[in-house]
Amino acid sequence: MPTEDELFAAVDALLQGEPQLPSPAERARLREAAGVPQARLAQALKTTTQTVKNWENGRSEPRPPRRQAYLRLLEGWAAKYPAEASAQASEPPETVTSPTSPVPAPPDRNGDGKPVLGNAAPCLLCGQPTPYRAAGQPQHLEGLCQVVAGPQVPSASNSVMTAEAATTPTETQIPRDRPASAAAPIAPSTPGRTAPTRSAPRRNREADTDLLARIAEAVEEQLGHHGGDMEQATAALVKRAIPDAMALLELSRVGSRYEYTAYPPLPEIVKKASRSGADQVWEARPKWRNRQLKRTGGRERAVTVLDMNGAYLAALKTHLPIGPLKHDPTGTWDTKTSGLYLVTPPTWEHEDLPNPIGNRDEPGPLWLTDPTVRLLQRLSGPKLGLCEPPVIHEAWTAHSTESILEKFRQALAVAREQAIEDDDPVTLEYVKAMYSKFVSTLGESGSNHQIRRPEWMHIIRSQAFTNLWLKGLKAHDAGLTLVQMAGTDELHVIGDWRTVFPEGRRISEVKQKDEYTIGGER
Amino acid sequence: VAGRWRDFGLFGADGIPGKIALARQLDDLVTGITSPVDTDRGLHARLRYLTASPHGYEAMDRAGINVTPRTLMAWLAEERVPNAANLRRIDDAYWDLRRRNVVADLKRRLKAEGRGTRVEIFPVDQTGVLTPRRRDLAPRSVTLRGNVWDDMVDAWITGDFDTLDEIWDDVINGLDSDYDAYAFVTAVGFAA
Repeated sequence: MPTEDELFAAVDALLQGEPQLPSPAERARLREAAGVPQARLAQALKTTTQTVKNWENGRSEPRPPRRQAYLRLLEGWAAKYPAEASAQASEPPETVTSPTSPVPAPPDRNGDGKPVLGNAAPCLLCGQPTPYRAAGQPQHLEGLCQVVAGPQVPSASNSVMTAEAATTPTETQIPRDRPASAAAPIAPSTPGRTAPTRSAPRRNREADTDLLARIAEAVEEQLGHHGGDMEQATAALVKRAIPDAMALLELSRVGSRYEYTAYPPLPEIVKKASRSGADQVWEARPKWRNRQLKRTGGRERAVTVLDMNGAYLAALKTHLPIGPLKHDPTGTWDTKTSGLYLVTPPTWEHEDLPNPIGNRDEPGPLWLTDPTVRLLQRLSGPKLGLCEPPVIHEAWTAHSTESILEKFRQALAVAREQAIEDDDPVTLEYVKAMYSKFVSTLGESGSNHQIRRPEWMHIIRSQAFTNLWLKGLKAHDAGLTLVQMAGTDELHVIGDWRTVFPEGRRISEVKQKDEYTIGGER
Repeated sequence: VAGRWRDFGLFGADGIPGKIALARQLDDLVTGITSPVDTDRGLHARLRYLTASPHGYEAMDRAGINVTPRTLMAWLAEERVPNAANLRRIDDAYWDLRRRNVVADLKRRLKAEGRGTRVEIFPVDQTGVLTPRRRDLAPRSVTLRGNVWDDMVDAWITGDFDTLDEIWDDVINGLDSDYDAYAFVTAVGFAA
């Protein structure tokens, strides 16, 4: 009986064998002909600029699932900019796109160079909805569709289907919760249910295999212990979520550059006045209602309640101070540090946008966290110019990094995504409990003795609020009307939000929670 | 004995001896009644705790509370309120007894069935020291296991700072050749 790894290697070979990618030099030529910078391509393929560079100088080869996406892109470009015509290919041909052609056409642009946006309609190339237009037809920007396997691109998706078929007979040997990133380019899946669409891009290559394995082991152990009773297993997993999250964090820090400190001496401002009391830090939790909109009277309008997925999980990506906070009486602003700042916030004069510091009644300076101050700095910058810059009086800061929790966050994000795809409520609840309890017990908590960083807790929460605020700004800039912003993840808007936010359950997507109407007769 | 770092603070370094930092961190690990003694709730909870066992009466003796049983009963029945000096003594007696009562549990948690507890050491604050005179110091951490926790907690509860000093010496001796720089620290951090 062949081992799993052999089979996966064989399947890998199949995938790698056909079809061939163009030579590295040709890849670079095509990209330059299309006028797409490496960074833009890297962003589209959710990888790094360095990786794209490596593909183009032959130092490395793209691996699935990016390989398929990259191949498809190169094929599209090759059709548009054939090798011999490269000399005069500086102007893209005007009328390449017939409605059924798989060749991406250049996007329609406004007078100011911004892409034309319309109502979401199925893309000509991939069939997924897109607001962008090319030659009047719905099509993703530059043909950079999200790679979802479909019949439209025969070469790429066929090879995936073959590989998928090749894995199926071995499935009985593969435990269901096997972390898909282990050796397999394509995760084994339940036959019949999701198999045809399983070549959707999975970002698990970025997540640490050991961490995913640890999560899967815990789930399997509890399921086994409770004889497959999902409710009991979930309860048991949620109960051990805090120590498990800390163990996972520890594991994610193996071989890392910085050693964070778990019990640094704390400044007075983050010491609680009493056990249930609050400290002096203002986390800028949004609690806002648009006062221009009346609840009754006028035209009746439909309001959608949007829910941001995994707000605290996404917020783990933030600038965290590594060592103990040091007092800085000068109030200088340095992007390389993070911590707490005593700030006089700028006045806020926009009725249709919430104040980024939340609804603070007391006037005067207050202790804000790094994400809020970063947001205020950004809003006061020349690009947005929404307010005056914040006045920093003093600060408690330390050298910071965004990478302390990065591996931890990625593992949890991938595990969450896989659990959603596989319809696995046990893992989903477990992951949710791990990140939410991790954030809530980071400070002075009786239930987590392994770390005492209240400033991290404040910073992560503020980051979640900042993320929500920026989503609100995005909606506002896209022409939606903001009605309400509350808590960590709730945004009420009027308008066609699907043109602004992708819908779904992933972290980058939003989901509709509720709908109600305002205005009209009561 | 720790403290080969002579004339500490001569060039502006700021910190406390390691033994003091240890004792402070152990103090922080003791939790108890959070309401202040000058509230009805805090006072009543303390008196109940102190009168629940003979150890409580001993603690009150040690804190210098010399009142008649009648007065004590009046306090308990909330008929009379202790004066400011006695309030302070009641608070002292409460925390003294509370510390003694958590000793066994604290030792057990710190030893953690042989796994021990990680201790973080934060070096002295050198912001007041001129750059050429600064030592190159980073936060360090060591994991302490076994009987050292028994000795440390015993020394702390009896106020035996000489033993705490010796224990701290042993701890920093395990660091490296630069151990002496950690004779003084800003803080020591651990949890149980």
